[in-house]
Amino acid sequence: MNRAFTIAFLALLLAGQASAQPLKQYSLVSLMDGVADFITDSNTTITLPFWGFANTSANPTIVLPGPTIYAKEGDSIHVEMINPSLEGHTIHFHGLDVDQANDGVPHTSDFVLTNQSFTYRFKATHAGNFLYHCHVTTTLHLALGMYGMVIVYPADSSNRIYTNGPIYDRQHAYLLSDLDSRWNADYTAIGGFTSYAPDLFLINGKNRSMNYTDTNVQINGTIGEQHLLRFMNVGYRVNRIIFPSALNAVVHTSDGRVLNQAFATDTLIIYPGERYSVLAEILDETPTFVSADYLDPYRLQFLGRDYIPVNDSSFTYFPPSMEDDMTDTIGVGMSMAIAASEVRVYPNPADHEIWVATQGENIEHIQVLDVSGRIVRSMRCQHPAERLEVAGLNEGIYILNVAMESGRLVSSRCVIGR
Amino acid sequence: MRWLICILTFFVMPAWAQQSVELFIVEGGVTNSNYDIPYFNFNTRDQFDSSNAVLRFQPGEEVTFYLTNRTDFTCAFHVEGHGGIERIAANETEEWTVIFDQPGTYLYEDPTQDHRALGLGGMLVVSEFNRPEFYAVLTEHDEEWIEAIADGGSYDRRAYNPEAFTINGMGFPRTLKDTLSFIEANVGDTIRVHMTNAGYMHHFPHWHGYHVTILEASMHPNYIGWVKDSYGMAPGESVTVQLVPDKPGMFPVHNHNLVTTTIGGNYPGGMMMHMHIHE
Repeated sequence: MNRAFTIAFLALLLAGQASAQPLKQYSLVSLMDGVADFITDSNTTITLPFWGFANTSANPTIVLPGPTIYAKEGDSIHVEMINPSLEGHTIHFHGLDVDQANDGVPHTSDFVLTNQSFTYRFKATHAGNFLYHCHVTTTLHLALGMYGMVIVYPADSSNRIYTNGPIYDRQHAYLLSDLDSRWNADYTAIGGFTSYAPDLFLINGKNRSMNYTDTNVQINGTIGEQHLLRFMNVGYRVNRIIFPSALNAVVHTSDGRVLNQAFATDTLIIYPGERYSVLAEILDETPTFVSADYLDPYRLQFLGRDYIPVNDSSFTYFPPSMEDDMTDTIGVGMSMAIAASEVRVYPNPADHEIWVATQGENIEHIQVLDVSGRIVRSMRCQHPAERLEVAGLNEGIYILNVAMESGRLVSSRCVIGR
Repeated sequence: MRWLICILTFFVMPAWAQQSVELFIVEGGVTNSNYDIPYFNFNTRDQFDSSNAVLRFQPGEEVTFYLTNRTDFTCAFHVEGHGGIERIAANETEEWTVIFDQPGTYLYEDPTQDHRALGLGGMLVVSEFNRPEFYAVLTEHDEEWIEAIADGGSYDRRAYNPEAFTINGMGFPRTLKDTLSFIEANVGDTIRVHMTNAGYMHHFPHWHGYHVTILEASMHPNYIGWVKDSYGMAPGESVTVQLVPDKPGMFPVHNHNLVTTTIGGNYPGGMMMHMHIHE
């Protein structure tokens, strides 16, 4: 009897251990006394205060961005936040789909007031790239620097973008943000929050030459190497990433979820709060760079640029040309979008065939997607007018993505009805 | 509440029915957190309401619009991808009949130059979906532009400095009482949320607590089928998302250009709506 009881007890214990989720524990301190150097447009160094987070220690050192939180898919994560500063703060774990109590929003969750602490508890359900930031008077606290990254690896810690996903050789994390030096210099004198006009554009809390010799920022490798580039936009401005021809950039995930279809691109638009995983294969070892642009949310007017050196250990900043002051760039993975009226799709509704015609420019590629985003037709083309066979498609609404010879992309809708 | 009734009225009509819709272009103003914004919009009654009417039809419906212009300047009416009325003189009524064949979420607006900045932009949904649906028209307001456009004055088209940001004409916390955008649902429900950017800026919804599946994105076709918690909406763009909540709670949905979660320069306010999920 005793033996049977012991076996049952051990079995239960083992079962419990097998189902227990690994626990990742972090402890952060929220602080309002940071000071950091930045490089201005006139190539001078400016020293500004910032707010942010530090790892808990006897003498915590505030860093911009805050310490990165690492975990594996399936981990339980506990993040203690200790607040010795003069204002209330919280941590919102952006994109981690936590429950209300751990969401870090003062009016639905709670503040962590001065000399209080709180432990946020949640689970990392998906591999990918996430953010954290203070959600108290968010417009101000985030802009002053209270943010950081959360990176979740596959459950087996493999060097794959996501569980069973593509393998990478090296990885780089780029947290893009923007900063209004007047706000950081004296947050009590900013007036209304619509005064925000960023003049410093940061990658991992630094700008320009402060980053160019950082081997975590630089992309250095040999032909054939695959580099995972994790891009996250925690700023209030739109990012436009332009990849050089030396890199074959393929976008695999966004916001911690695998895309229904990976796509290759030379330009990636990243809106505030978005994150992307891009696998970049090195095709050419000649020194070059990735451009990271910052665009205004009104007409996507160009505000500023920084660079990520590629195989160039002596890269130096150079000012963007006037041609970079482009407006009205829209679309993910598109360069300049063109008006839908430049492409005619007929007949619409269609029965067995669709014609797609431009005003003279050759079409390079046409994709037809159903309303769930599934590609149901894909055709290489070479003429200004192309015919697609659609007799096998069900009745319904379809999206046509038409890639022009110039690299421009236009989208249109069509109906198949019989 | 009357807008909800209005929507339900459209919703229960059989697909083959012919509809008549009266719309009035009306001047008024909205106040959010003690901040006043002059505002014009399209209403189904001959009086001002803070939200543009959300119009909902079944695929295949033939609809006749009667547009009455109560302002003192000439307006127009246009539904994205469908045409409309080119000229509606002050205090005149014009008629237009259209068949809505294609399901989707569309911007309707006064396409006269910059009249959308007055507030004259709303949402029209063509759908057969018969489960919980919610509607959010995002826009921003530049008082100098509004006054200059309405009064025939001059303004600098390169200088757009909106100081108020709204969802259905409301800023947080008024959005908590907005029957169109406040998502009230249960765990396990299949929910659709239609969003239209009727402004001139890009806007960037971010969902707390959940990822959503993008069913439709009129200017970002690559988005379709993606599962996202943050995305961009170009001026004039409509996006439809779907989610099936698996946990209860109250979660914000807000623009992640956090300058827009303010009204008149004050925080909190502006483009923040909420989702309340029950067990």
